[in-house]
Amino acid sequence: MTATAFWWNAAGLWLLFVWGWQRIPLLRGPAGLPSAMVLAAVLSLVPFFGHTPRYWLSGLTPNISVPLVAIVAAAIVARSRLGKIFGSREWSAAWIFGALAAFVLYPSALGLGPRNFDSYALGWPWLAWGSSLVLFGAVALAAFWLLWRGNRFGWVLVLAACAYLGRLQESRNFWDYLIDPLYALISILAVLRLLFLRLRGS
Amino acid sequence: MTSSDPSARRLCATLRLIAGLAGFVVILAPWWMAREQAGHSFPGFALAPPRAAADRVPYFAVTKLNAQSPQRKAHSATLAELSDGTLACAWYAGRGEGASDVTIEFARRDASGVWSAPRTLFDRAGTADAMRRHVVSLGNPLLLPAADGKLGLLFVSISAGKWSGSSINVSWSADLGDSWSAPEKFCLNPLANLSALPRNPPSALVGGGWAVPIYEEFIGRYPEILWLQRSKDGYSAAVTRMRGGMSVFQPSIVPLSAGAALAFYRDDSGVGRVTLARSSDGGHTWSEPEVSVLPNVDSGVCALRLPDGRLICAVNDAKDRSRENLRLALSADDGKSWRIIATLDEEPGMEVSYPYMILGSNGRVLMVYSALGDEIRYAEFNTAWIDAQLAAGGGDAP
Repeated sequence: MTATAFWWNAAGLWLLFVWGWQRIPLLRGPAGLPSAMVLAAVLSLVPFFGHTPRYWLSGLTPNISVPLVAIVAAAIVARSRLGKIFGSREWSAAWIFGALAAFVLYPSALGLGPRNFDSYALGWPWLAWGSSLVLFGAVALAAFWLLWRGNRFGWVLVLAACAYLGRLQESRNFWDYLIDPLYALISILAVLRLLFLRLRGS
Repeated sequence: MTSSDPSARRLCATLRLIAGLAGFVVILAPWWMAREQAGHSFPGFALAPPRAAADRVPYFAVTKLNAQSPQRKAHSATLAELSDGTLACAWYAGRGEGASDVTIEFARRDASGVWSAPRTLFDRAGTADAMRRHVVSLGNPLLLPAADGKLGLLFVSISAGKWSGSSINVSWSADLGDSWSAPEKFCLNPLANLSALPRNPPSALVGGGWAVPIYEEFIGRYPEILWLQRSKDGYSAAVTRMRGGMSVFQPSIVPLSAGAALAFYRDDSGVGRVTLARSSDGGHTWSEPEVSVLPNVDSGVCALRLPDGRLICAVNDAKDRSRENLRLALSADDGKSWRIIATLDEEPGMEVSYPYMILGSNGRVLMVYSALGDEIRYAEFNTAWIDAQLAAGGGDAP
């Protein structure tokens, strides 16, 4: 594991812990944030069965996507009442992008789609340059549309491309910078909730 | 200037348009920058120049490679001829498949033909420390002899569960196996990087990369190719699927020309035969598998192209669908028809399996396989011996 990938995973996990600590009402708001950050750091370093949580997490999920880090950071800022990185439009865009990406990626990558099609291979542009334009082009168009509409989630997609260029993660597949299993799960649940609320509202 | 000011709204719209275009360009940048390397993808197979058989006297020998092995299980051996002409072999050994004490073992055969005592290259704890992540067990090594003299080693580490929780790591040696770099993990699957396993010999590519036959064994069970291509910072790894599904896996790939290749699949669908597929575009795409006449008892197969162009395939072929014998099949028409010509090894009631064959620089077939659960055996034979088997009456249709 490269040093950058190590620190990216460690930072991502730390942010998840900060967000988790903020579930406690006492640790919400600007005054509670430093405490949540310190407690998250402690939790990140405390060994469970001889190893840190990052050690266990990296064994199972080596890549934490850029959108997951972005939405967790936005949630922390919102809970700390320090400002508002994401409005409702950004949250909706994040959930819809995550659910769509999960739908396109996971079934075929796990062998459940058409027999010879693997959408994960679209994330390696040096292998199949022509077909990988489908992925890069779709994400570029999504970012263009979002930014043109003034939706900040478009910047998250741009950051994912920058992270890919800088090889921030262990993976060299663009998909891993866009989505991970946790972000996919949260997005699908959030989209289902949005649909349920919309149906109930109508 | 207020937000209701038309000029301000126009300015905002223009800025958003510029931001959108900038984002569009930035996201397409990595794709555009990959175009040069992409020009070398699927470059075709690098075939060894045709060689006449070095010796005309039939030669066949089998030796036990891990004579002093203390482990109960030794399996999935791999073999490579090194730049100095010596041989290297690696396998995994331990209490059993997926056990926590499994290690990657390594031995070398010197110029005089004597195998060294096995030594451990990687164990579970050392691999976990080096990769700074949880590892349950190790398995399936595969040696990669690079043209520049370096020796690569792929091996599996299991993060959770059994084989379905495996992912592939790579380590390099610049001194023919004496010392090895810290292993690095390939990310080949988006769901927790599960699961990929190497098994059969890699095919060298034009320009110095490899097409490594691997397989996935998680929700689906299917064959894939791991493409290792030279890049500025070493090797880029990417995977293409040969065929999805649940029945064929553990491919063995035999290049027939720069663009054409034949794949042999282990089949666990119950058909009891090796299935074959062909590629005519350097391994990028593969035909639908066709059931061959070659027997398969849901066990590993390995095939090879001889210096004279004929194909051989090592298979288990016991009447009771056990793995108690290892037989050799020969094809003189690029896999269209086959004849069983010899029994390479037999252990009634026991197991001889998982053949791994390469062609030595002397034109001989060099082979390692598992025997009796805890043995790794090395076999060496030449085309004169194959011809002698044919002349002696070998040549039954399977």
